[in-house]
Amino acid sequence: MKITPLQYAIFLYEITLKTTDIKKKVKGFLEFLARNNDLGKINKIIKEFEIYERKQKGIKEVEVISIKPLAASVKRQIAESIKNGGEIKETVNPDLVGGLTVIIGDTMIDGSLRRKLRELNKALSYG
Amino acid sequence: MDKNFIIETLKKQLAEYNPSAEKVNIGKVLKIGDGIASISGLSQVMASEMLEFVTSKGSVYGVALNLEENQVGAMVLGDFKEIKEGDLVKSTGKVLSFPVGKELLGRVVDPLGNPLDDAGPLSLKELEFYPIERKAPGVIARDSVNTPLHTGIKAIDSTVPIGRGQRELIIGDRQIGKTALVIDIILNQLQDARYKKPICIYVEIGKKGSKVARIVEELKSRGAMENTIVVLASASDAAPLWHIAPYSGCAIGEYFMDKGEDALIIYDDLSKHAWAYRQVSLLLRRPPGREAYPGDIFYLHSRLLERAAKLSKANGGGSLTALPIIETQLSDISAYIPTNVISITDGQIYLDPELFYQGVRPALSVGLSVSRVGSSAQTKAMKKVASRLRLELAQYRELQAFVQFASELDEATRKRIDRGQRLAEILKQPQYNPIPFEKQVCLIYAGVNGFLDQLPVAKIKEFEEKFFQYLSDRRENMLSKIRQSGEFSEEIEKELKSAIEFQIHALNEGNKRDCFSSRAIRDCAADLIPTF
Repeated sequence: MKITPLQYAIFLYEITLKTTDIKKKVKGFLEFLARNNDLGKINKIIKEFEIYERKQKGIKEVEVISIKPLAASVKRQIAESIKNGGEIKETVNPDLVGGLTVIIGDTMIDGSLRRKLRELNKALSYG
Repeated sequence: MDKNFIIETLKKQLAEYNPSAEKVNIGKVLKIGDGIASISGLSQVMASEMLEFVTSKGSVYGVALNLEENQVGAMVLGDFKEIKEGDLVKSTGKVLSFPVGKELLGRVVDPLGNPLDDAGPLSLKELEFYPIERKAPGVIARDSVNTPLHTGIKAIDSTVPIGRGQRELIIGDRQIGKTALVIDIILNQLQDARYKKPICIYVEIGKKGSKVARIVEELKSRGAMENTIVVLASASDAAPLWHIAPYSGCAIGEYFMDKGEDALIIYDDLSKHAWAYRQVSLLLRRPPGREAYPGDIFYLHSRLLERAAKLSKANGGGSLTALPIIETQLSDISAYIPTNVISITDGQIYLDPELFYQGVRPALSVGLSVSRVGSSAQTKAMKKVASRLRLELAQYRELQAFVQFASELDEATRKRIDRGQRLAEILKQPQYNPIPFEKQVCLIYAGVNGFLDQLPVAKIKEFEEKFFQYLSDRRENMLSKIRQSGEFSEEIEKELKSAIEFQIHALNEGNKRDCFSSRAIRDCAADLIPTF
């Protein structure tokens, strides 16, 4: 039977969960992959592993989009206000015009001026 | 728009500016192609929810169709080439809806409600939004079909009557006159004075632009466009648009039905609609079934056609009549989609290629066409003459094989064949020439009562023309009596009899006079020639 990348990822997650010797486990896992002729799937497995790990540990991906790099104090404030937040990924996008957009997992909190302007545009064009 | 208004609005917005935020459920495009997108994330999205793809060139909308464990399959309504892998997708929390209202009358719109003609944009203020997928009216909300919807086609009104709220399938091969038939039906709604004028919605799926332009032009020139709305998913539009076109058209019909009006919707044609849905389903990797159609192809059409209804008085008494069209391949009506739609509808009008090539137009096969609503959707006058017609035609069909040996047959059989030939002749009708039902009644009365037996078959056409002319010139009183009451009293019968006799006499006399006069001219010429 073919083993899907997700199944591999779950397997890898389980065997590395309560171990001290990660190197040995990973080496064993790679040998297992090689035996199954599935080394080509390694990139997909890593991706699935990341998603699976986040899901298991209840950590959410956090991305902050702003028009200029954030000040350390602002960043700290954001990190504190999000429960179970992982590492914050910062993106600079001047298209936002102003304000902030925060993406947590698959929820986006759009506090940008661009959204406001778009709403205004819509309200004006339909009277 | 007023300049001051814009400035005022801007000022108000600035004064009220508060840095609020909007929370939305988002996803990212994993795969895009052929009008289908795979999206990761969107954990809160619901089936058939509208999605907004945020692209570099503005928003494109789509509909979530497949909700899987790790991804969402969606169809894109619009230009999918704008969407790139990794683009943001927002859920909107809304279902797809269509702007409906009186303003649409006379317009040509696409399945999303954008105008395609040159009459300018629709003002959204006047329009309501109706969801394109809606549950059909329930049993309690309905009334039985009891009012006729006159088509102006003699063969239909007499043998397969259509009632308001009925669903009647029109089925036949390509190039056999399915579209011509429905255009005539739309045209007839202009002249049907007895009942409320229905609003016609013509949904065209996968039609050529040139053909549509010609149809719209024809309707315009005959004044029928004023109460017609055309919903067009043209051949160059993507399959998802073909897929939603009939539902959009149905939303318009429901709007008018809810307002207590009568509406007539034509789906031209549902076989192309089934192809489009098959394409979308296969690209979404849903498992194929018979003829590669997905498992829910029956439900696709049944939920659409079930929305045609006649509402009870308590619900406004409106109606939505549906005329779906199915194109068959080599007259195979036992293929998958034709059998499905035949079983969903309340009857079918079958157009037979054999009749078509014999010159019977419309090529309606009286034997294979049925209307399951039956005579409850006919006026009393039509009922009276049409029951005999159907019987006579059925007997004629059985004897048709013997037509070649007519001279060797007994008297009764030969008479029956003669009668049948004349009846078949009066059911022929040219295009763009719908006939009001009261005139149909008079003509069919003449046919079934044997008045036409004394005329040769070749003369029937001429008789019909002159007879109709005579009726509208001299016997308007009688016609309006039939039209107003819908009845066929003895008094009317008596008057009609004399009218028919007069016309036949005039026709025979006219022929004789033609002979006389031509001979007279010849004689006269012979006398005169030597004098030159």
